[in-house]
Amino acid sequence: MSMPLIETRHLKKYFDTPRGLLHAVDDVNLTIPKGKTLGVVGESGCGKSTFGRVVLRLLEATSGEVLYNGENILTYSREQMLKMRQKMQIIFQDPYASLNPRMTVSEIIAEPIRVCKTITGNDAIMEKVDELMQIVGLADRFVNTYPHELDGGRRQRIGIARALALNPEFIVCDEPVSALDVSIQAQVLNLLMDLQEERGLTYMFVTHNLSVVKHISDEIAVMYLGQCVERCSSDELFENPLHPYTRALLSAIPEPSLEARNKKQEVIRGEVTSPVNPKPGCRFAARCPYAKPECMEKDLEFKEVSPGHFVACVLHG
Amino acid sequence: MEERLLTIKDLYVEYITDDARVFAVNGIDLAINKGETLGLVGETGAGKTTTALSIMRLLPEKVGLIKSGSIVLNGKDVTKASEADMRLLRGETVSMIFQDPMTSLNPVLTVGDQIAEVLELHKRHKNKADVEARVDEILKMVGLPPERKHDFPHQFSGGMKQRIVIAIALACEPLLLLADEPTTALDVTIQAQVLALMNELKQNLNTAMILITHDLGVVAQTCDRVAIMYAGEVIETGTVEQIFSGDEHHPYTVGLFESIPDLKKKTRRLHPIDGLMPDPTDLPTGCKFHTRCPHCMEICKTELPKPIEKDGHLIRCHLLEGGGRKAEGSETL
Ligand SMILES: Nc1ncnc2c1ncn2[C@@H]1O[C@H](COP(=O)(O)OP(=O)(O)OP(=O)(O)O)[C@@H](O)[C@H]1O
Ligand SMILES: Nc1ncnc2c1ncn2[C@@H]1O[C@H](COP(=O)(O)OP(=O)(O)OP(=O)(O)O)[C@@H](O)[C@H]1O
Ligand code: SF4
Ligand code: SF4
Ligand SMILES: [Mg+2]
Ligand SMILES: [Mg+2]
Repeated sequence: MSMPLIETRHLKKYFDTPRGLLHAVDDVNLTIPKGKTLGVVGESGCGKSTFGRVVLRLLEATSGEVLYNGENILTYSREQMLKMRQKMQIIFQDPYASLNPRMTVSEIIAEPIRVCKTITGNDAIMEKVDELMQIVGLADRFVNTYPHELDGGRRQRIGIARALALNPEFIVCDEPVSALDVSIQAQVLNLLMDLQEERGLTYMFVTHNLSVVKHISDEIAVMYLGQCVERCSSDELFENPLHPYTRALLSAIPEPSLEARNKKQEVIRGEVTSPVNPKPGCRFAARCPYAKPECMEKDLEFKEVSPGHFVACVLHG
Repeated sequence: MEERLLTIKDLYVEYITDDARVFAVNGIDLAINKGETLGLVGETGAGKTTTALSIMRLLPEKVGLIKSGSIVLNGKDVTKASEADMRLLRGETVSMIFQDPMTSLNPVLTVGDQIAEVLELHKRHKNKADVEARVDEILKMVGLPPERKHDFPHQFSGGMKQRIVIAIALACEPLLLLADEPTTALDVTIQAQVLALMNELKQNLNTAMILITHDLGVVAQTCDRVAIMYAGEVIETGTVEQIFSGDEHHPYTVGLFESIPDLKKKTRRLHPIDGLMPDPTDLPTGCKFHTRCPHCMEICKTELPKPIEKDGHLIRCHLLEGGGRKAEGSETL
């Protein structure tokens, strides 16, 4: 098997809070092969954004390893990290908050180039900016406009152009299309997939939109309260979901059709377990309809139950 | 008996900035009865948030202006009401869940205190212990452990902040709830929980709701009626059945539905509507969709289509004009 571009080993991120340690990311082991897309889904607040930021070292991990081409970048020095930064980029959910309102479109796109000095000389930089704007489909006439004068779709294109400015290999996409209407969303998804094909980009794609994640991902990881509870290929997840949380998630997808209007859902009830000093055992137990005493005894193993299909649940494996 | 709660007539809203005049809302009509849920969908920048802000009269001062039209809410014309009347309306009659949760959260107060503040304002609870118990209950309803009430907004994830904002809006028990993308940041199980909660409010208090969303699944599952906006106009409106079935639709509506990735089909490429939203400072003449419409005719470039209605299903498109509702080309829609 070829070496993955990204691999996390026992990655943890705990936040110190007045009531104890909040386990935002708790022992996550995932791999992303080069040129592929890993989709990450899970309950709001389960640690997806934190995971993405820790992988990029925008947040320091509490413990564990992040291997990039087999090297643990968590041990890298500042200078080494500066070089790495060019290879790893992030596109944020919120095209409103993540763009500096006092900079014009071209200044925003050029900023990473100026900071990392990958290209020097004003003309050369502007040429690159033009090229990037063309790639993401932004017309020349927007060069000197400010982000607040643009709609969400165009703003998100600025974010993508900026992320591409340093020719990265790996991009964390944190809800990049949630703020967009379905038509612009489809345009942006097509763009991301074309770029992947042309440049061999590797993506980690965080989203709540399950039809989007199915469309764009090769593999999908399902997270629940800081842990990865199921992982397999995108098709397998939708055809054969195993973890009770995954099943609840898939059954709750609101379908854009009238037939589904009165469909019965597996609504999950029960209290949400707190991520602060969690007890051992399955973190979904308080809401799981199949919970039994052995679920709470000890932490569950993340088992491969069929080739490439991993799940952490006593019902399987 | 259906009772009218909100009537918007021929509303025009503009933003005047230093160097441009943005035509954000261009003559829309909307009506909502008590207890009814209206889904408001449409292109990014179509004017959905602007419409909601106009109802609240919270457009950015000096920049955002209601140019003409009326907004009658519970018998009162919002466009003419005094600021004091508006404050009363905002507290008792209408409340809004903003697109960006930080608009309504105070960064230096714990979320528990912020919910308690709203409850105390509405004076439904006798003492401190009552209020605290209700705060816990509300947090649990939106899927947050009550012990987290002592945390500050920055300690929550995006979706958790959104849930707190929803909790606060629901605590107000308004007659009309304006929800601007309330569940976009939430996963589908929490979304289902929040939508069920809103539905409960609708059942118990007969709350009406305008639900602004890009998620046509959410619309199909929760709305009674739907209005679709494009470039500041409502280009199609009808009951959820009329919008999600039937074979006569506005070409933009058709394009929206074709853009959604299908869970059951495997396709490499999605099929978005070609082109981008027109520049709102320089809108095209005639039908504003004509620059992107696959059915564009000569008349579309110069004449604004009139809304054509059948059983409350309204479409603004030249394809449907003349010869009843079945016009040439509509089979292909
Ligand atoms: N700076 C912080 N201090 C304390 N706790 C934090 C901080 N940042 C995040 N958390 C907590 O870490 C957990 C995971 O948050 P994260 O933002 O990673 O969730 P998420 O899965 O991205 O959620 P969403 O889908 O809502 O964006 C949450 O319980 C959150 O409250
Ligand atoms: N403060 C402002 N100054 C200038 N233009 C503005 C301002 N606020 C909004 N606009 C413009 O008005 C138009 C309508 O914006 P609005 O926010 O109502 O759209 P929307 O339908 O809510 O879009 P989205 O789905 O992206 O939230 C857009 O072209 C937008 O750029
Ligand atoms: S381990 Fe037990 S509680 Fe957890 S998901 Fe499986 S059955 Fe449910
Ligand atoms: S009026 Fe003409 S351009 Fe507009 S939607 Fe109808 S056919 Fe298309
Ligand atoms: Mg997040
Ligand atoms: Mg909006």
